Amino acid sequence: MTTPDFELAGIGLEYRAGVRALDSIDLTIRRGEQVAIVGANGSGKSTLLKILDGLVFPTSGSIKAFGATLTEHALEDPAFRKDFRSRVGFVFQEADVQLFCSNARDELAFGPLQLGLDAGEVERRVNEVAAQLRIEKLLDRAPYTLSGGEKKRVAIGSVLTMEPQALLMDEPSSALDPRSQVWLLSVLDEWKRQGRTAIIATHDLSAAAESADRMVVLSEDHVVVADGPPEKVLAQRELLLAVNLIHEHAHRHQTVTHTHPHHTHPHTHPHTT
Amino acid sequence: MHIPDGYLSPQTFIVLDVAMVPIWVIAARKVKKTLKTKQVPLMALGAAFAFIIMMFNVPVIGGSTGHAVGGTLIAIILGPWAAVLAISVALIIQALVFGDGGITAIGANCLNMAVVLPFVGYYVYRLLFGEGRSNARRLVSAGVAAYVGIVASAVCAGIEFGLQPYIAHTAAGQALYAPYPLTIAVPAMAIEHILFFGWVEAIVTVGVVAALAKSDTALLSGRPAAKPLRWLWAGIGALIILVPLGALAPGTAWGEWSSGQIESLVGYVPGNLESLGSVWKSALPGYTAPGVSHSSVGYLFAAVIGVILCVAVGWGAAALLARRHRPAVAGATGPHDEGDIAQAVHARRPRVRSLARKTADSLGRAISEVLENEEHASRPGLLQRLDPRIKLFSIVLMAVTVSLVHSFWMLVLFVAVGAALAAASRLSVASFSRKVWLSAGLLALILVIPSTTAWVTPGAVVIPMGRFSITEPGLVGAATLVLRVVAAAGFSLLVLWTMRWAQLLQALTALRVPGVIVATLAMTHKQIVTLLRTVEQIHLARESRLVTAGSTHDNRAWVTDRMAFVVRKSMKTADDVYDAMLARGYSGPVRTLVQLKTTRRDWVWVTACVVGCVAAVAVDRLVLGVLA
Repeated sequence: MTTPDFELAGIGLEYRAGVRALDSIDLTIRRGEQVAIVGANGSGKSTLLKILDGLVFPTSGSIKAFGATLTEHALEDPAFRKDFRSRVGFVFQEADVQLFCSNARDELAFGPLQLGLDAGEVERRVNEVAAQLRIEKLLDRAPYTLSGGEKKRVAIGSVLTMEPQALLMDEPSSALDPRSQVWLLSVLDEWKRQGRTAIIATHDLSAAAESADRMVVLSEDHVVVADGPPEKVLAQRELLLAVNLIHEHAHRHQTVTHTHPHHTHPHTHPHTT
Repeated sequence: MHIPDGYLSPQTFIVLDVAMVPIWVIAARKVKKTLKTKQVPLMALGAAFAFIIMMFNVPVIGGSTGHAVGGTLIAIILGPWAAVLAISVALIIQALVFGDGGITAIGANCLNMAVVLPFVGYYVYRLLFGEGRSNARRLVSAGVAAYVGIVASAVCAGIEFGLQPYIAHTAAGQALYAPYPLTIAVPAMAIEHILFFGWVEAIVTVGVVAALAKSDTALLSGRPAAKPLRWLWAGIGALIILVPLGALAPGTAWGEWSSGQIESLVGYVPGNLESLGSVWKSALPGYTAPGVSHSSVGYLFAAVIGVILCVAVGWGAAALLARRHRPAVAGATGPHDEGDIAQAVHARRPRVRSLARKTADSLGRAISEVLENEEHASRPGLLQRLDPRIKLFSIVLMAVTVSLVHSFWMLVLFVAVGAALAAASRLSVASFSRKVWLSAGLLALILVIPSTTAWVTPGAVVIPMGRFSITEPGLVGAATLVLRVVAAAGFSLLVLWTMRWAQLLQALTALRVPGVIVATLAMTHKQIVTLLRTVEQIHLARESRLVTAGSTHDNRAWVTDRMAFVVRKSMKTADDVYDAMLARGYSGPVRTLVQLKTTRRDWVWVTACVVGCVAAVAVDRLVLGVLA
């Protein structure tokens, strides 16, 4: 069996004494898994992704990435850093944060160039990814002239050019219109088909259920309260209500008013008028 | 205080441009030591923040509003060396993208606002605040520091302006560049800032520091910097040398209307400046040579010394203020209308629209200007098709040539060349000319009117009015200056309108400007647009809920509170962007993809430019010079 991409044991993070962001997280993520990390706002999803990407370091517990222990010290070693950065890609929630170059082409080229690839290879990757994401026409435009959906495409492209093994995404579907959301799902499908790992933090349960084959639920106390296939996790309504991921939804059908939890209860009513 | 193109002689601006290079190198080294690889995002956001601060309208008194530079504030937050870089980047972007401040005058503007201002401000603040813990003391220190800093900076600008008539004028006594001597330029700049812009700067600094002190004292803890005491001793040392010099050369030329007033407000500074003005005269006689002559070398030297002295005086003033200055009570009477007209025009605009609306409008205009520039730059015109390096070089060459030629007709020719290039680059000549004449030309015209009088420029009288008689050299000098400013502004505008920002960055990279600097510039520009949008939204949101205009005090508190918000947001974004860079393998040096190739068209163009410029100077000196 191959080494898991990530192994987290007892990960905890305290910003200051008493201000906790994560608490004793045990999590093993294997090659090719499509994991959705779900939780309400403030549950620690983004922090967990940052820990997986070696941007934030836990105050307790240990993390291994591709079999090697990931610490601040280990990342100071150029060879290790280069290897780790080329294997893990991170799409930030806010595209504005991620797009810091003066045009989309430079943005797509930034990652591979920092990893020391030669110009010819970088150019090949930029063109390939641009074609794949259908953003060729955006390449010479400045980021601030792009729409929200276009920015997201460029942000995702800027990570794909690094050809990572594992992709981390923070709320990828936020700020996307329905058409772009469908586009995103197709990108993730392609990713899955290539047998690569994807870890997506979201509070959008329906999107998570569609793309992921594993769902990890973080509670508002920053601990993992459920971990398993999406259908099984979504069936635990009490739990999802407790972690504030779903809410009772009341609506009226002509004469009958009934309530049911949102998201987990697909049902149809004959809407007659 | 942004000095436009055309006001400074080449001897001055070239020296100052060159002088800034080692300062930037030192600052970059210092910052690298303390901030390591994080310097790029932090500098970029610091610069974007500096830029945004300059865009806020600050209510001062009686309905008047002004803009602050925020130099002291940035130095308090980032430390003085980081402030040097952050403000420099902001000023460079203002010059290259928004046309505020000349391209040739970048060195002068950076020296005044990005070096003198943050250093004087920072050390006055450290000195007054010391190891203090009390918030009141922090606020008073910050306010006094900001006030002293901006006045010191204005005095520097005054010295740069004031040296111009000595450096270059014709045999007839007609000025070739800024027409006012030190005895007028320095007090004008000083008084304007003592009475008005000093207060704007203090209000902004105190307000933002107060807002930050409530929640983010960590931001104010100050990044490590050199020991203030050492600089203090240097300042006192300089003063000791200065005082006997002043005694040897008693000057009487100080503007009689202001001496007492200034002295009561800032203490010791004017006394020394008075002697400074006279020191030039006694130490460097014989500046009556026509045009640019051998004596200009002496003045070049004098300009450098003058600026060094100015900084020293600033520190000296800081030392004295530490003992004397009491918390100031607002005594400003409104904007003073000499000298810094660009800012004063804003300041004097009647308050018809609400403050929030006004700021939102100017922010919206700035955003559309950025987009408009990009649109102009993507048209298929003559200049747009050139290699960006060649284009930058040739336009700067023409701007420098404009500052070298003296004759009226040659300047007229250059104004025409600018318009012709605009037409060849498929830009609307009408809007090009409107922009150049109405912004730069009109300001220059207002500024030169007093210099046409016998009081400033003696000579053959054309219209007799006693002391204020209009003289011939005065008129010719004024016309020359206006034309020069218009011609230079035209070339600056051509850079703005035909160079896409990404192209400019490519040119800089190809010219071997360090990747860190280019990356900082790139990120700053992008963050400015993002922040502009945010701040515009904030102002519109306020406007939408505003029923009454509100008191000046409330407005002021609101503005500084919003600025504090921008600080917090900038610093938070710097952290996030840094993470995003790390995540994609960033580890210090920035690598970029640049494929620039020059074609024959580029070389033909650049050869034509060089030949044309050399010929222009030669004709100006040999043919038209004789006629004049």
